[in-house]
Amino acid sequence: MQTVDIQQLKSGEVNLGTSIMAVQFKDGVIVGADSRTTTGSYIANRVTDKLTHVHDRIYCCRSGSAADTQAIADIVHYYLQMHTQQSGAPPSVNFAANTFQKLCYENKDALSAGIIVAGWDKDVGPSVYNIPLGGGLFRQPWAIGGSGSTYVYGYCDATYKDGWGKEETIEFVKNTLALAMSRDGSSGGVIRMCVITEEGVERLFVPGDKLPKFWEGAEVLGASVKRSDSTDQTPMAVEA
Amino acid sequence: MPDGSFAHPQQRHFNPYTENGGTILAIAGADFSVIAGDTRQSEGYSIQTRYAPKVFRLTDRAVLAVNGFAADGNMFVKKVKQRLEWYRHAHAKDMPLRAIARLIQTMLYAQRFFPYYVYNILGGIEEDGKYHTSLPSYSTAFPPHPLSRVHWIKREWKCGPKVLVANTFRLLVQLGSGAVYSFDPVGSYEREACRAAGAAQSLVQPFLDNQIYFKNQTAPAGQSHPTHLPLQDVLSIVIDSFTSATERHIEVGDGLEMYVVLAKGRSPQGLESIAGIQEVTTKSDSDRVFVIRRELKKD
Amino acid sequence: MEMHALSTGRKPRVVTAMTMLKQMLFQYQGHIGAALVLGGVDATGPQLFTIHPHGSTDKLPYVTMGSGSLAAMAVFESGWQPNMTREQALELVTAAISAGIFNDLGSGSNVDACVITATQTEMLRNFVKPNERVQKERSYGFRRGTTAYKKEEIRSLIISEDVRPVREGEEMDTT
Repeated sequence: MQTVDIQQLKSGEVNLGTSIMAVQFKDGVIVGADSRTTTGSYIANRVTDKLTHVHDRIYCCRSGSAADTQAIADIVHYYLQMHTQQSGAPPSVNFAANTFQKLCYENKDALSAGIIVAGWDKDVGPSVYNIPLGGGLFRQPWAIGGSGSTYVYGYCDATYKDGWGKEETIEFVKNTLALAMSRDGSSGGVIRMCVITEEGVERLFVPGDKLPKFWEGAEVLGASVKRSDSTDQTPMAVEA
Repeated sequence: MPDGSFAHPQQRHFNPYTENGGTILAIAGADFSVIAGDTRQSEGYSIQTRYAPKVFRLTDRAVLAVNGFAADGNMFVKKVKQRLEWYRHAHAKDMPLRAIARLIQTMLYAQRFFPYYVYNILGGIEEDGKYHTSLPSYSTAFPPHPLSRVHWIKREWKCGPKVLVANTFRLLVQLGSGAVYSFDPVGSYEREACRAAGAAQSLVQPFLDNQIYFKNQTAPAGQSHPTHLPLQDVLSIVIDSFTSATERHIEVGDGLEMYVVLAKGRSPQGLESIAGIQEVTTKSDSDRVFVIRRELKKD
Repeated sequence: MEMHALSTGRKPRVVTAMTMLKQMLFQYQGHIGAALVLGGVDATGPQLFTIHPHGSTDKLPYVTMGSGSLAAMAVFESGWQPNMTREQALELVTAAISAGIFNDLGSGSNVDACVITATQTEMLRNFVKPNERVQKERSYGFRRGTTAYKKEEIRSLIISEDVRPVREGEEMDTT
């Protein structure tokens, strides 16, 4: 089978189980991610920052192997610095995305990296690029990625509208990630977001106990489930 | 799936067994046995409990140590105890040690194709002991047991025409002999003088071979090694085996339980000085069982 | 690190060490099985990193690594608070390592600690020793002659020879 299998990669590898996304709006882009990093079933980092700066107005969202995506982001960061010094102008988002794509495609056998590149540049304004596992490159108005994304394609398709402003887009990203994190066991923690516009980059943070709430199964579990204060419970009898 | 998780067929397999670590050992003396085990129960790198006994009193003359998969071990001991109770109801006496050994073999082999994942060591007193003249010993803590046999000796003297007859008696006591039986998981067994089993078997058995069987030790010229060591020496060797195994094996530690089985008629002299010793014998006029507990390192 | 400090003419930074380590570990694709905790104080302040064998890094206010990391992290998650004093931090680290020593079979023996401040580094080797060896019941010395042997051969290793200088005053310069 000619499929890349992230389950079969290096054993003991640190993984970004991940829910990530990026959405274009009229003044810029918003990138967002959960904050969970796992080794097997252990949460190695519960406050990870998967939104990685690669240039002044260009960020990437990392999913897959933590080691691979950090290494790629470091290399791209270096290329963009060199490019800026040599050409005397900031790189376009397209250039950054192509640099990522080249690394991902040419080393596809050794990498497990699903990356979303997003940012703002003078030529085209806001743009979002998706680079999935094999090293393809796709420009999209919105992109979602990571294991959690599979749960929220329907929500995104049904909800996304062209021509949103900043606040509507923030709500969309926040809601999508909260839904993905609630269904996907390898996503969770807090939501981190970056609003990238011509003016600059604004970081947003949603704590784990302030996530938007959706259906939580009240019909199944009963309206108020209180276990701690019930005094009628007695411990199970155990044979001495 | 987008993550390619269906790319290759994967085989899952349920494994009904676990290794729970720990070590057991038993040493037979001339008229006693010592059966010991640590009390740590572990799985992988985690401790499940620091106190899970692996050594069990079966009768007043038999003690069983069980090591390997703890769930199987506990179930196996439960079933052996049940069979011994049935024997008591049928025969109004405790099963002899060699019969318990054969019973364990039968019970283990019955599970030949889905074995109890346990190594058993059975220790106690065998009924093959010789009769010895006894000097009635006395101590406040352990009064001597009633004699098992009084041997009357009739003596005659010819004194001129008369014949003088005197009936004297000697106090004769049958001393059972210390015995250890070791088993593999499917019932292969043999009687030995000493045996270690479990996680630290590879550390402890060579030490026992050297200290009990005097392997690789040449005796001084004109002398020979003793066939049996005294109880105090055996207890010291058992304690040192476990403190050493605790230092060098991660699955051994927390606590040590040593059972001492004394043959009926053997003086318990010396035992009363041992700190925290506890007698667990159920009947009078029988072989006697004692437990000694010690702490081991907990890291 | 020393070479880097010399060539840049600056004091080295913790991130520099972190980057060098992660790049080396990534190059070896996890075949160097090293899991590291890196800590230090530089121009940018105190900081802690973890570096996994495949070369991924995390920057966190409290970190654990190794087989006892779960036990230690449990202690950190319940006891850590921002802006702790040196004494509070050292006590928490000791408690965390002790949790590993007693609850993880892969960890054991003593607690080593290291306190790094802007001005100095204190290595506290065997800071706590909660697992001293216990006295053995017997001594296990062997009597001379215990080991059997098949052959005995004694050779003298002392060689005596006369050395006569060929020419006087022309010894080799050995300074």
